[in-house]
Amino acid sequence: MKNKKVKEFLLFGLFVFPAVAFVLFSTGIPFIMNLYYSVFQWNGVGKSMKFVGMDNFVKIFTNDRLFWRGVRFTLKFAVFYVIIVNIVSLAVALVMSKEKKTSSVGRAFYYVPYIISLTAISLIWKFILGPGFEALYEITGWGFFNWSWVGTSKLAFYVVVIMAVWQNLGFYMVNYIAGIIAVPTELLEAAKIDGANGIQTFTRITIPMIMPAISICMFTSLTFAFKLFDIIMVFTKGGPANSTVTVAYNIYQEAFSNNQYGLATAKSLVFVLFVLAVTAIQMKITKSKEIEA
Amino acid sequence: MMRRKVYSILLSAALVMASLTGCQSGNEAKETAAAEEKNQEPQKTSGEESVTLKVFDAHAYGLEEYGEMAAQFEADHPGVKIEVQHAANDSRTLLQSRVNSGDIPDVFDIESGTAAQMYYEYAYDWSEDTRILELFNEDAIETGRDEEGRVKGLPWTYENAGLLYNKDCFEKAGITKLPANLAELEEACVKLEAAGITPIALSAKDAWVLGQLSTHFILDKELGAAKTTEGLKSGELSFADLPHWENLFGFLDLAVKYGPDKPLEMDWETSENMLANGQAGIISMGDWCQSTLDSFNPDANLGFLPAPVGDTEEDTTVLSSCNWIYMVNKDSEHLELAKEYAEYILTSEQGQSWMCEGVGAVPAVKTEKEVKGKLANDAKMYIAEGRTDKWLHTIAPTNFTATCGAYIQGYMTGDMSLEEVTQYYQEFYTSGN
Repeated sequence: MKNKKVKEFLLFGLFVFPAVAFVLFSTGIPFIMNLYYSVFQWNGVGKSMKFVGMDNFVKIFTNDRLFWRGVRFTLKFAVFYVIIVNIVSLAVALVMSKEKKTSSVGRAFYYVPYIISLTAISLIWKFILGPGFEALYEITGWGFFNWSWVGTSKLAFYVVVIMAVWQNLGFYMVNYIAGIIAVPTELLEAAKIDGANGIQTFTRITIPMIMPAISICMFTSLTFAFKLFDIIMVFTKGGPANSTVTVAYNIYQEAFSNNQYGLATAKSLVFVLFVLAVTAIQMKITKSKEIEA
Repeated sequence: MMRRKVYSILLSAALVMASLTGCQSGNEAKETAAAEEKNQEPQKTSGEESVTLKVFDAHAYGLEEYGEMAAQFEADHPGVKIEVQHAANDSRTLLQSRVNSGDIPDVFDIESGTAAQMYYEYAYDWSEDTRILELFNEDAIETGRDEEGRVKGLPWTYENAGLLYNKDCFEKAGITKLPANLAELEEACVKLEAAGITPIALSAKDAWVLGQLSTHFILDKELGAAKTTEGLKSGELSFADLPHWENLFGFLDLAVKYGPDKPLEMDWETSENMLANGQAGIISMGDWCQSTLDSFNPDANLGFLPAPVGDTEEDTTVLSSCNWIYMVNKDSEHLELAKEYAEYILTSEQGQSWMCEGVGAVPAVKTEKEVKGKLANDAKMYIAEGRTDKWLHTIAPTNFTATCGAYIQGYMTGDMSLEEVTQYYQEFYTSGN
């Protein structure tokens, strides 16, 4: 009896080991190195480092305007992004989960932005907001098209939100479709017989039944929003006037442009703790709403 | 039932795709690596031992000439392969990550001053190689000296920064005298606008351009570049006391008023294109962009407009420095070869034609060779008149142009006031970085 358990454990370990080793190598070890660097002042290149204790952390909380600006931007972005991307992708998924010929075309249509490279996306948007809007302005005369979308601090925020939603919509859509398809038809039919209308079946049956999908989508969209970096790096470079600097981009700048490697690692630690806390709360809330079919 | 199976297969396929594309962002970094010059096949032929010299070049100017030059070196040294990475964008980040990962290039170039300091401990000390040092102009060698006076890098070319103007546009607009102060500049702008030309096209999207621009207004000519910077860093000088500082904002006001409709969307490529093709009268840049300008319009008639920072012509200067130095990794496995290559690209006949013709700039090495770049030749006039000073942005605290350029952007968008920008500059200089 005991032998069998040991055997099972070994077998389990054998299968899990490669994954664990890989995760430790790519995440665990760098994380520990991060802890180490965060108490040093180091330019990221030199052979010597200066031990400064908690100075880096003190600096973050007392004297780092740009970091906190990044925090505000990131939080604002997270709120907008999580709400918009989830509502829109759920709506799209509801339409696309119907078994029609058009829906497979539609799904591909929404999924494509997710698989093209960000560089191409940035070029597409550069074109849309540049010559594209210019031409539309000439045709329609609507002032809206002539605004300086990426050259004004306020508008640049919305451009980033729209780009991020547009790019990732397909991913959340796929998740929601998977959830919607799994809703047992007998439940839906029973509700229909009982006289429930479309809205009632959606809120009373579909939503509770796809709670796992909602939970996953909320989680991934939240972490994506907090870690937002690539769009900023490729498209706005944090500009204009630092108005689109996110926390992740600020950390990158600190490490590779300002050559304050220690300070950057300290910032990333603060940030990790924050993201952990928020996502833990979020998981707890959405998990509690999940039900078994 | 069957249908559901099909769906689940489709979905899992989609998810696999999703997880694969998740790695997509990682490809970003490789993008620049794609610009690397990949020489055809690694020599796997048996017998002969082959040596690969890793070279990091922070420019993408005169690539054709560079290629020929490297090929010539390979031909002269059988068994030697030159592996060059040209990094036009983010060169500092790329170099840093190579050094971090232990992949230190044998020969690499870096902007002199603050950026180069970090690499001094990796660099070979040229101080003893007087034969090589004598090939260069004395003042150029100075840019590569560390605090103890050791020569840590060999200089590349002279670069001149300032406002560039299109001579044909000025002629068309009927401007006969170069504006020497802001009032005259505004007059010129009015004339240019009347002639249907965008008077000033600053590439304000790129913060570094604005950061560089501001250094003209920081410079206190009495003190010179180095002393002004030192004074600001130590706090002895304050921005409010600088003689020309406030004119920066007058200039920016003009740049917004007489600039493109969406000033903060102008990138350096567009602004250079507009200048070269006579659509814009004035931009802020330097002669390092000569080859880009030539690619837009080889016949463009361009020149330097010393920034009108004060009241008279005496106050105006072109900033001129030898600001890139080539370092040799002192721990290189092929140190002698690396030294030879550095000497070769900076002093040899091929190297000189790369710099004079490919890049179009005045080399730091003593030479009689004719320089192709019109701007570099135009700058010679100011150098001869003594109306130049050294660069300030390379000796300012780390990452000056991007950090402070963003503040200037803030002023241009109306997010920040003159006082705020001044205060932020002050804080940046005294931050001790």
